[in-house]
Parts: sequence; structure tokens; C-alpha cells
Amino acid sequence: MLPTSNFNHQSSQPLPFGQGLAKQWETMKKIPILSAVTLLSSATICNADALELEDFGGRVRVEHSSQTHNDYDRSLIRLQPEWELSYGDSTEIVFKPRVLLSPGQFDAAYNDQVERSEASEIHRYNDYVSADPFELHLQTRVGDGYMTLGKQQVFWGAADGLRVMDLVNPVDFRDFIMAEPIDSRIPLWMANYQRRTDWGQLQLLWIPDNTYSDYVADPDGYFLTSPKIIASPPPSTTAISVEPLQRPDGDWVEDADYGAKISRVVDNWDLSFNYLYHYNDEQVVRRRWVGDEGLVSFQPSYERTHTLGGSFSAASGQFVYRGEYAFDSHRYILSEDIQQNQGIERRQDFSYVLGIDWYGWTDHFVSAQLFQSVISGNDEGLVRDKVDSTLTLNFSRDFTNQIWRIEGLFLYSLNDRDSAFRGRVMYDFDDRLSAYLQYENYAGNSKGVFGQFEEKDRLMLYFDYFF
Amino acid sequence: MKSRIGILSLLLGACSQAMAIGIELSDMTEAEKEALSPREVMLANEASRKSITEQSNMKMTLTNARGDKRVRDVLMLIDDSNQLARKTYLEFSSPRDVKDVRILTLEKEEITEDDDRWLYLPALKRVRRISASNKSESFMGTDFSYEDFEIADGVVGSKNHEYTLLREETIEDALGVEKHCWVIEAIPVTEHQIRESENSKRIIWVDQEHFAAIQEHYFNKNGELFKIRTSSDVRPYPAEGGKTVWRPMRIEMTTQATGHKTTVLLNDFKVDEGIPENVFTRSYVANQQL
Repeated sequence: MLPTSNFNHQSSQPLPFGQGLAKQWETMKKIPILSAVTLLSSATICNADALELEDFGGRVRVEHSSQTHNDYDRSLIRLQPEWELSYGDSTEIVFKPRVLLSPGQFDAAYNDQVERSEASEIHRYNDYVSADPFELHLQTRVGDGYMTLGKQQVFWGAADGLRVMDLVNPVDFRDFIMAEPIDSRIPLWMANYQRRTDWGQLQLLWIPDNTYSDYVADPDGYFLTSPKIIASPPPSTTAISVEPLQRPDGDWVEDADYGAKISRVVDNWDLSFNYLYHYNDEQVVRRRWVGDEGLVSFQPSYERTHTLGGSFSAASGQFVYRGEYAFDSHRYILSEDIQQNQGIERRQDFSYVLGIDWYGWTDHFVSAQLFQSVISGNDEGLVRDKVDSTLTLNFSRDFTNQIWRIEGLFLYSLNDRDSAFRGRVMYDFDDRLSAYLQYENYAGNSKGVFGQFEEKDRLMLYFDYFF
Repeated sequence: MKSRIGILSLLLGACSQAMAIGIELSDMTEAEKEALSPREVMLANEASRKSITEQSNMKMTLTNARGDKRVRDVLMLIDDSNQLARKTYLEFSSPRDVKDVRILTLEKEEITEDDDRWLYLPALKRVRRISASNKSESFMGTDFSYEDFEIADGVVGSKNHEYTLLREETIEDALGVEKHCWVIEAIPVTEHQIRESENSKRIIWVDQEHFAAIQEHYFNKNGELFKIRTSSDVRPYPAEGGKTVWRPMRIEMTTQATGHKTTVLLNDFKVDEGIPENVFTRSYVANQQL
């Protein structure tokens, strides 16, 4: 669920270039862990002789997209340089900022970042340029393990495209679900400790960054309308009011997310067991009548949950079998009757993905997945079914020594009978320059998660230049 | 396939097996060489190049028929301490679009079992279990298949092949150096090898001086010549136990149908210098933490 970000736009004032990062730095220092990063980084930088530049490079992406049902075009240049610095034998600093140039696209009315903490805001400098640190972390040896401090991405699970256990980082839905995970996952400020143990690889996470999935506010973009996700007012509503979003207070202990993972290989099986105590990345929107004048008040907030799950994968002959599963203690589902529990029902949820990859043809990859979410109790009055099922198919093939590549991704909801498709052709000019032609299609029930974008099919051409 | 002289077909350290069949490589007289059977020649080839571990920075240049080049830099670490089950770790450092791609392959001792293989994709920040059964898959767009990374004609692999000495002849290697060679035909004979291999036949030129396989022709299932490998710049390296191994530093594979070729230069090549055991684990592939 998300909605109020769509109703309650909070436009930010453009910041002079440089002041945005300075502001973010001040915010970071309010959080002890981030201060630790600062101190460690400072200590490192003080002894500049020992600091070595291990690698510098990056990517420039120039893209242009056109929606086929309307005249909404988007041009974007993404600059993503990367620095890797080392200090001694066991300390490394990685900095991967991201700068976006979007000529003629910016509309301050929709520059809404209510889902992001101050420390993870994207800073807009003028109508054309925005930037954020994206990834900035320091990794060093601590005891028998390694500590990674800073803004980073952590991947959990074994599924492609569908999030069951991959819940550590929220998602930027600027391109709905069509962007690559590395670009759509929002890196968070966190402490990430990993070490080998007798039981396997242990990972402990402490995430004081209260940033959640970022949804599009611009109706011309991938603005969500599906009633399965968006809280809507009853038909007799004459007016609505949207209360301020109730965010966690930012307390670095009480409001932080905590996670643990243990992973190991047993015989032919890759196994992981995960636990995350966290805020759901989607807003919970409570609705209530105010007075007798048909006014409905929307109250958005973020709510906590415990998620316990795991993942597995194994190879056998030409096939790889994989999956992940999760039990969610608090899942908030929209209901149609706002007089009962303010239009929200709290349930438990068990979700899983089963996938099979086939490698039977040389230079081909074929994969299928079944995703199901099962909520406790019955689904009477809810906007979703008790069991929600989605199928995915994924195909790719390389040609001529990987100079050409074609890919297809198809998602189909068995409940709503709507679908999403992404087809892509890639051509490598040389080691530095690649071109992509991508087509995205949405079809089916317009109330479904995919079908809501049936008028937003898109053709995209983009070039990646690596330096 | 448990032993192949391909690009990464490194020294298989099968000295003990080689000696068990009566081969003493360093002291072998011309008469003793003349007496070797084709299979013994292939075992000697394995013995001459096998170490316990090896590491190198490979520069792989991919050249199409028009002469356009792409270059990949790859760190390669190999652990052959278990002669029956090689461990191979590969890490790409350039170009930028494949930087940090990492591949770990753990062979199984039983030839009928598929290897374990994991692929780390930085674009997903994720380790993916992949099938190792399709050995004819191209290795990252090169002219080498995953099968070419295995060892085809050693202690284990030789049991899956029948070897015939076709002739002896002198040829120039890829750098123009003349080598007197045995020319040996290897044909898969076991059901598993016939089914799994992309080759129906190979012809191998083994240098009689250092037992290095300086050229190899690969024939596909239709019996057509489809790839040619050449190896040159063969150099000696001191290995554990006071032995010397001989390794080609330049290896080239050409696909006949397309004219596309991959040239591999092995830089900073080292043998038996010790590689931490934890490198060859899934968790190291995931986070590079020992």
C-alpha cells in the first residue's frame, strides 16, 4: 500500500550544488553508526599516505523512453562513477554516487520524498540535476569477520524479480518493476557484519535508516492506481483529508530494523535462514469518516513486522531448483469497509517462490517461477484474495560471442489475469559501449498490479558507456 | 571429462600416476619416449604441467573475423590438491561491464556427477547456483567452453577416451617455433563422455621435448572440425617437490565457422604458492571475505 505520497505532495526546495550533500552529512552524524563511519573514514583519510586508490571508473547511461499510448517521453542521463580506496590490508572504502540529469522533466510538485529518511534523500540542485551518494561504505576486518558500515545494498533470497525474502533494501519504483535490481534497490545506511561460523556464514544487520519503498507521485509516470495497493475513498465521499505521514521517530535503537542470516551449503543445496525485524516498506493507510459531511480522513503510517524465512537452491543435471519462503507476522490488507478497523485488516502472511531454471540449450537460459502469498483468515471484504498467485517466465539467449543478447521477462497474475512483459535486445559495440532496445507491455485487468499500467506501455532506447 | 589440454588445462600433478606407469619425464631417453603408448603420452602431458595450485592474471582478447577486439582481464586460481576434483575460481577485473563477475567451479570425484558451479553477478549483488551439466556453454563470450576449462586426458579423463597415434611430425607452434610432435587422436568411448562432451573427436599435437600439447583440433558431434587451439611460449616453473612444470603462456582458440578467436595470455603465473582454502567456497564468491 502507499497512497498518501500520491495525495500529499511535499515539494523540496532546490539546493545549491554541494549543500545537499552537506545537509546529508549533518543528518548522518545524528546517527551513531554513521558517525562511526565518519570517524573511521576521517581517521583513514588523516593518514592519506596509507590510503590508496584501488579503482576508479563508472558508467554513463543515456536513455530515452516513450510511452506508446500517450505523448509522455522521458530523457535521462545517469552518471555513476565509482571509487574504491584501500587502507592497509583489510580496509576498503567504496563510493558510488549517482547523478541524474533530466532535461525538461522536473516538476517540483511531484518531488516527493516522504518515503526517504533525510540521510537517504535524493538532492535536487535545479530543474535538471539531482544526486545522491547511492552507495558509500567502509569495510574493515572486525574480529574474525568483516564489518561493512555505510550506505549499501544487501541481497537476500533466491528468486528473480519477486520479493519474498529480499526485503532488506526498499525499492525505487520510478520504473515500476522494470529496472535492474542494482538500480532500483535503495541502498540504506546500515551496519553489516559477516563472519564464518561452524554453522555457516553468519550475517547480522542493524539498519537505523528509516527509508521505505519510493513510489512515483507524477501521474504521467508509474503512479499506482490499483485498488489492491492504493487506499481509495468510499463512493459517498465528498472530500478527503490526508493526515501527515506517521514515520518512525528515527530512534537509532527502537526504530531501527534488525536482521540475521545464516547460510551454508549442505551437500548439493545452498540454504539460508533469515530473520528480519523491520518496518514494512509499504505505507499502511487507515481511513475514517470525519463528521457527517462525507469527509474521509486518510492516515498513513509505517508498521512493524517480524519476517522469518529462508531460501534454497540446488542443481541437478540441466536444471536448477530454487526458492524462498517467508512468514510475515503483521501484514496489513486494505478492506472495502472503512467503518471496520478503519479499512485495514491485520493478518499473517506466508509467501513463497518456487523456481526452476533450465540450461539444456547452449547459450540459452529459461526460467519459470510460481509466487504465492497466503494470508491468514478469510478474504471477505478484502481487496485481495486469500491466495494470490503470480507466474513468471524468463528467457535469454546470447549470440555471436555475447555481442548480441535477447531477453524476455513475462509476469502473469493468476488472480487478476493481468500481465507485464519486458523484451530487450542488447548489442555490445565494444568493451565500453553497449546499446539496449527495450519494450514494456502491460495488459489485462486495470485493477490489477500489472494491468493498472495498460495505458503505459513503453519503448526505451539506452546506451551504456563504461569508463 | 576429467582431463583436457585446453586453455586452462593446467598441470595435473599426476606424476605419481605417470611414474606408476613407468614414466620418468625428466630422465626419459629417446628410446623410452619412442616406447610410450598414446595414452602414456597423454598422461605424461598431464604430469609435465601439473601443480598443486596455480594462479595467474589472464588477459583474454576476443577478436572477430573483422578484427574487432574485446579484452577481458581475469584472475584465475586453481586448486588441484585433490587430483580427482579440481577447484577453479575466476574473477573478472575488466572490462567494467563484467567487473567483479566471479565463477567458482568445484568438480566432483565421480565422473558421472555434475560439478557444482556458482556465478556472482555484481548487477544483482547475488550468487546464483548455475547448472554445470551443459559443458558446451560458451565461457563469457569467449571461444572456450566450460568443457575446455576441464582436464580431459589425465588420470581420470583418459579412462573415458581411446587414444591412437596417427603419426609423428614437426610443426611450427603459434610463435613459429618448430616442435617435433606426436599426433594423437582422442575419441570418447564411455557413454557418459559421449553424451556430455561437445566433441566427437580431438586430435592433439604433443611436443616430444616437454610433453606440451601445442595444438588441438576439436570435432563436433557431426564430425566437423569446429575449433582449433594452439599453445605456445612454453616455459618452465619450479613446483612443489623440486619438480619443474612446463606451461604455455599463450593459448589461442579459434572457432572455424565464424573466424572468431580468443587469445589468452597468462601473466604473473605462479605455481604451488598456496591459496587459502576458503577462496574455493560459495561464501567467498559472495563477499570475498576469507
